[in-house]
This record gives sequence, structure tokens and C-alpha cells, in this order.
Amino acid sequence: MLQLKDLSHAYDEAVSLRNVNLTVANDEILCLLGPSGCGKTTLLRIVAGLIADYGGDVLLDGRDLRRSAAHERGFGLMFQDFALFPHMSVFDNIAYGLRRRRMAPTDIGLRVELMLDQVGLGGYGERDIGTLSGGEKQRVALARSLAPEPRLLMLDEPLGSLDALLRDTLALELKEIINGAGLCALYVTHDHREAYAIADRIAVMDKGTIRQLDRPFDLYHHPIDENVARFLGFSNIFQFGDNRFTRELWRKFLPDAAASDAFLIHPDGIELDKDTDPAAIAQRGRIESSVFRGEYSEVTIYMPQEGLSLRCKSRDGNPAVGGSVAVSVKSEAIRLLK
Amino acid sequence: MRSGGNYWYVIYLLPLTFLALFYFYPLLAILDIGLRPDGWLDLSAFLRLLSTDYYVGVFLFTLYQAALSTALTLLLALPCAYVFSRYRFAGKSLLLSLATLPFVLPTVVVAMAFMSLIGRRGLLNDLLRTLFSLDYTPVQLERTLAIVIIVHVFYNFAIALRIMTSFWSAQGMAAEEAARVLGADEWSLWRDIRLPLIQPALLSAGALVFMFTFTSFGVVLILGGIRFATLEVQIYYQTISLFNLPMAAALSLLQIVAIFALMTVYTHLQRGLQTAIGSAKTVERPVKSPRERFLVWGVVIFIFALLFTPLLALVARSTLNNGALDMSNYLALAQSSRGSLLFIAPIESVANSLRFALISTGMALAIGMTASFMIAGRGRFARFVDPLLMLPLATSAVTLGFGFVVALDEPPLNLRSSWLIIPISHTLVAFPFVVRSVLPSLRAIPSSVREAAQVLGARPFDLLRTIDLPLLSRGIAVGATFAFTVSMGEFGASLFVAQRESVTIPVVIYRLIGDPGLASYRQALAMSVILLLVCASGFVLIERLRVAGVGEF
Repeated sequence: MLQLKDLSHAYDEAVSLRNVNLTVANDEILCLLGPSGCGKTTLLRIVAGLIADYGGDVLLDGRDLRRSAAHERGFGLMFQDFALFPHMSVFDNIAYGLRRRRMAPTDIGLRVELMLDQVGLGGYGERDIGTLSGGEKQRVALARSLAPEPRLLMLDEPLGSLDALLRDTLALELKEIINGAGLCALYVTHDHREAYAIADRIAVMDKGTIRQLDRPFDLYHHPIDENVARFLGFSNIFQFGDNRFTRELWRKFLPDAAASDAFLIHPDGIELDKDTDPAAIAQRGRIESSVFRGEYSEVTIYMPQEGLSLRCKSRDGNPAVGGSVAVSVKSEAIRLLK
Repeated sequence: MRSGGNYWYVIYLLPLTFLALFYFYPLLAILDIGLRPDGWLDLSAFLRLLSTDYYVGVFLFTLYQAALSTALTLLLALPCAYVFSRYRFAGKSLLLSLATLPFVLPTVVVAMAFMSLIGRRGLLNDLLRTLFSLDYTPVQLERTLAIVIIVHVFYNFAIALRIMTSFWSAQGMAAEEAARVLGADEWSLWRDIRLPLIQPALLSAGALVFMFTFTSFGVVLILGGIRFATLEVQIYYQTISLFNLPMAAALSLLQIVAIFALMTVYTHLQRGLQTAIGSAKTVERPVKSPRERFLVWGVVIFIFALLFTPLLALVARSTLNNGALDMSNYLALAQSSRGSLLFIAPIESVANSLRFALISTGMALAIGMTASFMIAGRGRFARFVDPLLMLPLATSAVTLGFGFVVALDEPPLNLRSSWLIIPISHTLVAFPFVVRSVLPSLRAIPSSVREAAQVLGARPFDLLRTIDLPLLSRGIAVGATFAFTVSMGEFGASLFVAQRESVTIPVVIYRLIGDPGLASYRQALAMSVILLLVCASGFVLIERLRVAGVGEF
């Protein structure tokens, strides 16, 4: 179990981490999600022991790590650029951590073969690093960080430099391998879809603090504030007092809220041309744009009398731009934001 | 802070102490002698320097010969660079890399090579005498300004060629094609497009060549003589022949000020060069028309004639006697000639040179590598140390040698009679080459690679052994070869500090050239070929390591 207590750090003057408290359980994959510069990589580097001048405490199973250097921690760390050793073969890369632990050569051979099989690169041992594709490099880097059986695995945007198609398949594989190894993992990414797919819990970070810590399902359905909601890609964010439509939602669904309270109309709770539900509030609008995404179309609807745009999903073909449509918002779609 | 890590910084004292003792201390000693020869501030040497027509003349001549050399070098390199950047032909890159051979050749060897080609006893004179049955020497170039300038072109041609070729290649063809479409003929293309575009490279190369020829020593000393003395040669004469140390010191200070002014100009021009290079688009095209074939052949033959005929003449002169192979010149190296200025047989200097070169290489590696780690480190003073460590490169060898003579001949540091002073002076000249070879590879190692090793359990020593050294091996090998070659060929400083028994090959060749006899001349030929072979091997090794390095990183 990894515990961070009041973790703080500043680069020269700029504060990069501000009193972060976090606990990662064994067998858990925790994602640090946030825009670049939010402090997630700094946090990772502090835990790895690569940054030593931090405030607060890093505890592993209750033991303070401040006095142990990076090479003494026995953690695994996977870099975005993989950081493979260019002058060594695949085998020597994976064996590197084992050799530092003075493992017997025969055991090293067995362990490396096992790791190669596990990441689907059986027989790649003698290959040169320069001859590998991006996906293969990623697997070697994973095998290298897992080979010494670390107590904690850290991954810094491990899929960031791969193309989209490869990312989806590798994300799943990565989750299976990490879960299979039964270890505690810290996974840094700026892509919320990747975080949803991989994480047991997600910590959304911004400006050096954790804004929200939740399971992926809860995070998606209940982003805590406007920043988090916008970072997760939501856009229907308003204040109750904004216009007639929002005031109607306010009166009917959340009469106790204040006019200045921000809220999100979750796109999953918006329906088009289905104003049969008496519990919903309906309004007509004009289709301003319609982007076909495959399984659904992302539709932006403009309501001229309110001066308001709503974004939602349509699963009925690809609605034509300019058409008139009835929008109905149910009570469940309203999420109060802090 | 992490435990144990801080003691590593002690090792940084090595390059700093070395520089302090053997660079700054001698420089201060020169300053001391120049400004206070008798213990109090006395500017009389300076006033004499500035008010005597002779010394002002020396300074002006130094500028004049440098300007002349630079102009001729640029004039010859410009058309060659045009052909190199515009046309694709077999052996181009090989020729371009071979053209840099002069960079590692010692001045004594090059002087001997040109003497064997166009000197009094040179092949050209032999040929003309035989062809036209002359009974006099038709080509009289020794001890003229002309031969000095020609050799300066030999040394600097490749530098100018490389700078201009790469700059021109990077410019692309867009501007030229646009002008052509707008109706420009060949003449307007040169006047309006090509020359204005190449101007930054022309200026930058010019500044570099000017700096090199301004500090030229061996070439001027051997081929020009006292009549054409530059500042460098004058410092040598004032010290060794006239023992006028205050005047030598004043001249050295003038020299240092001039070099730093030139350095500033060059750095400034260099900056303009770097920003201009960006869109590296290949502008080469195959050679088609007879005119183009003529151009390319002309350039290839010219480069061959300029750079390789002197070296071939040297080898031929030393091994051929009336058209037959004759190695007696080499066998004579074991004998010390009667009444010679030398105290040892010439061949003994080979052992001296090898020994000093090995020691210098070791010291240059130790100092250069710690210096590289210091500069590459993100420490606060890395940015400050980098230019500091490059100062010896910008200081002339003669100034360094003179500084050694005046600073290291009395307690606390009396090395004047120790042979150690030679490898120390060579190290000072050679270690910047190690830094320049190692530093790029060191900076090319991503910090994440090192951190990955750390996280996997590598202690600082493991990091050095398993990551840094293997990744640097090529750079270290190049640096070591450079250091060895530089030490083998070092002339200016050695001439000041080498003692009777500890003379090196270049010093011996210089002494032999000074001897009037034919026997000494022949020994000088043989010694020069030996040194040429050593330095050329070093060059081949460096180029091979570099070429192989491109594909791997």
C-alpha cells in the first residue's frame, strides 16, 4: 500500500504539488489524470525517488521512503519514450534490473524468457532495440519494469507515443498484465478515455492538487466541478439563472439551488424528438452541427430564444444540419457542480 | 539530499585545478612580466611596442597575411562549394571527408611536404630542370609570402568548403527558381540570389579562417622566416633568440586581446549561421551536360592538386632516388649528424613522441571526460564552466609555451627541466578535443534512460559502467585519437618547452630543416613521412568511428 501525506513540491518558485494526500491499495491501478503541467509527472517522480526535495511523506506499507534513493526502492517505472537502453539487446534490457539485484544468470535467463512470453514477444531476446516497432518497444519497456517483480509499478503516459489503433488494444493488455501481476500501480495519463479503460480509481489533478478521486464510472457520471467536467470533455455547463430554459430546469428539478450555481446537463440524459416523457423539460432547437462518430453522432443544438447551445448524442442516423428538433432533459441529466 | 551522492563532485576539481595551474597561472605570469617586469607597474615595453615602427609593422603584417590567406581561401572554396552543393557525383562525400585531413597534419609535415613539391629541392624544380635542361632553380618560393599563403589555403580550404557547402545545401532552390521564373539570367542569379544568400556562411568561414591564419606559427616560422615574422613568430624570437621577455609578454598580451576580439566576432557571425539553417532540402542533381562534367572534374582535380600532391611529393621525395626505391633516408635516422643542433639521433624522438602522446592522451581523457560530465550536468556553474574550459583552444600554442617558460621555471612549480612539462602542455592543447568529442554523445543520452536504470536499481557507479561509458565509447575513442594525434604533431608549445633529450618528432624535423646539409634534409623528409603516417592513421580512425556512429544513434 502506497500512502502520500501532504505531498508538496516547487520547481524554483513555481508550485507543482500542493498538499496531495493519496492512498493506493495493493492490486489497485490508480490513474493520475490531468492536463500537462498539473503535477502528475512530478508526483510520479517523487514516488520513484527521482526528485528528493519534496515536502510531506511518501510511505510504502507504512515505511517512510525519504531516505532511500531511487535505485534502492525496487519500483518499476515505465517512461513515455520507453527509455530503452539503445546499446543493449532486448534480453539485456529486460535483464538489467535482475542483474542489479545479483540474480543468478540461469534464473535471469528463465525470468526474461517468461517476461517475453507474457508480453507476447517470445523469441525476441537477441533483437536489437533499434529494430523494434513502437508497440514492441512498449512491450519491452513493460517487461523490463515488471521483470524484477516490483512492489509498485509506475507508468508515465505509457501509450502516449503510440498511434490510436495500437493504444486501444495495448491498454487492455496492459490492464490484464498489471492485474495478473497483482501489484499496486500508478498510471499517469492526460487522456480520460485511456484512464476510464485502465483505472480502478482515477485522481483528476489540476494545478498541483487532486480535484476529484473516484471510480471511472462515478467520475464520468458525476464530475465534481466545472474544471473537472470540462477536462473530461463535457460542455453543457451553465448557471441556473442564465436564461428561461435553465431557470425552468432549476425550478422543476433543483429548487433549493442558487441562481449562481453551476450545473452540467450530462449528454447521456438528453433525448431528441422524444418529448413523450412528462417528467422531462422539452424545448425546440435548431441543429447547428452534426458530427458523425460511428456509433453515434455528436449533435449541437442551438436554441435561439435562449441564446444557448447544447451538445448531445444522437443514435438515430446522422441528423441533418439546420433541421428543427425537440430536446428533452430529464432530472437525472442535471449534475450540480461545485 | 540523497546519501553519498555529493562526494562525486570532488572529481570536478581535476579539470579546474589543471586549468588553474597550467593555464591561468602561466597567463598571469605573462601579464606580470609584460606589465611589471621589475615588480612595479611599468608600461615601457608596451609603449615601445606601440611606438616602434618595426613592431607596429609586425602587427600589421600579421593582419595583412591573414586577410590575404582568408580572401584566397574563400575565393577558391566558393566555386568548389557551389559544385559540391549542386551536383551529385561518385566519391563526393569521400572527397569532402578526405579534404579535412590537413586539420590533423602537423605544420612541420605540411611545410616539408610543400618544400618537397615546390621548394628549392622540390619535385617541380627537378621536373622543370630536366624538361628544359635548366642550370638554375626556376621556382624560388621558399622564404616568400606566397608559399606561406599557399600553405594557409591548404590548411583552411576544407573548413571553408564544408561550411559553405552545408549552408548552400540547406538553402534549398526556391529563391533561385523563383528568380529564374521572374527572368533572371545566370549573372543576375549570382549577383542577386546566390551571393547574398551565401553571405552568412562566407562571413562565418572567413572569420574562422582569419582567426586560424592570424595565429599561424609553424608555417610562417619554417617557410617564411624572420623577414615575414607574424606576432607568433616574433614572440618566439623575442623569447628564444633575444631573451627580451617583457617584449615577448607585451606581444603575447596583444595577441590574446586580438584573438578574443576575433572570437567575439566569430561567435556573433556563427549565431546568424545557425538560425539560417533549418529547411535541409537536398538540392543535388546529377551531372549531365559536358559543361557540368567539366566543372565537376575541374573541382575534383583542383582539390586533389591542392591537398594531396604535396603529401605525395613528400612520400616520393623520401623514398625515391633517381626513380628507384631507396630507403636509405630512413636508415639514416639512427645516426645523429655531426655538428647538428640535435643531441640525439632523430629516431629516438619517435620514442619520445609516442611516450608523450600516450601520457597526454591519458591525461586529456581524464580531464576532458570529467570536464564533459561537469558541463553536461545541470549544476549551476555548468554554463559558466563550458566557455572557461574552451579557453585553451582559443589561446595560441606559442602563448601557452611562452607562459610555461616564464611561469613554471621557478618554485613553487619548477617543471622546466622535467620532461613532464611536455605532456602537460600537450594535454592543455588536446583536452578540449576530448570535450568536444564526448560532450555531444553525453548530451544525446536522454535523462529518462539514466533514470530508468536508476529505478531498476543502478547505483551511481553502475550507471557510469553500464549506461554512460558504453554509450560514450565511440565519442571517447574519437577524443582519444584526437588527443593522440594532436600531441604527436604539437609544435608551437613543444618548441618552447622541449629539452635536449626530450625533443619530439616535430621539433626534430624543425631542427633538421634548419641544418644546411643535405643529410639533414633527407632525415627531415623521412621523419616527416613517419609523422604523416601516424597522423593520417589517426585521421582515418576518427573518420571511420564517426561514419559508423551516424547509423547507430
